[in-house]
Amino acid sequence: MRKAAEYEAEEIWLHEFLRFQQEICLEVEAQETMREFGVTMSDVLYVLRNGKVIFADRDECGARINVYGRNCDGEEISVAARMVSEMMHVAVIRVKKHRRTQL
Amino acid sequence: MSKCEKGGLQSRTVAEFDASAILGTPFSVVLHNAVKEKMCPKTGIVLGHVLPMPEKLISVAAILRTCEPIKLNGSEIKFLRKSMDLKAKDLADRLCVSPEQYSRYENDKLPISNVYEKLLRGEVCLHHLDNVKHIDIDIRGVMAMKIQSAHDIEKPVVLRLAPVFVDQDKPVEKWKKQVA
Repeated sequence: MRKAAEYEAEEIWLHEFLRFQQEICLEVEAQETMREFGVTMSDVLYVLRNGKVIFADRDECGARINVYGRNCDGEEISVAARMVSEMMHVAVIRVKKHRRTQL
Repeated sequence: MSKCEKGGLQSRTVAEFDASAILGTPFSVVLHNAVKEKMCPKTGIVLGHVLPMPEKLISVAAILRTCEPIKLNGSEIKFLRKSMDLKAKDLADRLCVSPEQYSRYENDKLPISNVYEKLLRGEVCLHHLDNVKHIDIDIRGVMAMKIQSAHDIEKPVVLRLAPVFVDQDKPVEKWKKQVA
């Protein structure tokens, strides 16, 4: 398994996709988890734009990625998504908001 | 988009799609003939929805809400702040209020005063101006508007939007407000 820093290419790829994106796909599970955790579209876009790719698995169509980051309120969110090269679009598969741990 | 176990994908445009849960808006945002539904042709299982221009959609929802002269509540203030990707402290600084005071506005512990509300509305309009070039925003009108109490309004705020193509050569999609 590669380290997070090794997913730089996927990060650049994702940022370019988001820059030119005309649409975003939200799978049913993504919509359900967004509702469950109270995560909005603004949060998802913010994390995709500013977060770190912590996992990527490339295939012939694009890549399946996991992005981890914080929204503008500092809440930790991870987004599982799929980048589809042919259509230049991002499909959000699942969203998770992490509970804050108090020291 | 994951494929259904029985294979294949079909898409169709949804006549009406309530995007308020996805956008996190406390008011209703209904999209007309804009969202594509991905489904399995054999089982009819809906696998997901494709939203066009999500960032512009958020901007349009924020701008149109600021143009409605109805008092903003805490969750609406939060939505407007998040639409600008601002931290609560940063917006408090811009409005020249303390973070504690601003927090009271967002948590509905204190109604926002008309002066700060107009400042907030002005901030939102200026922030989203570039994203919604095809909508005429009268910022002076926003600053001069008479804000009505939500109790005086019979119907809740519902934004009904439909995508419009501006130029055939350069298709620039914009969002048009259908019904106030």
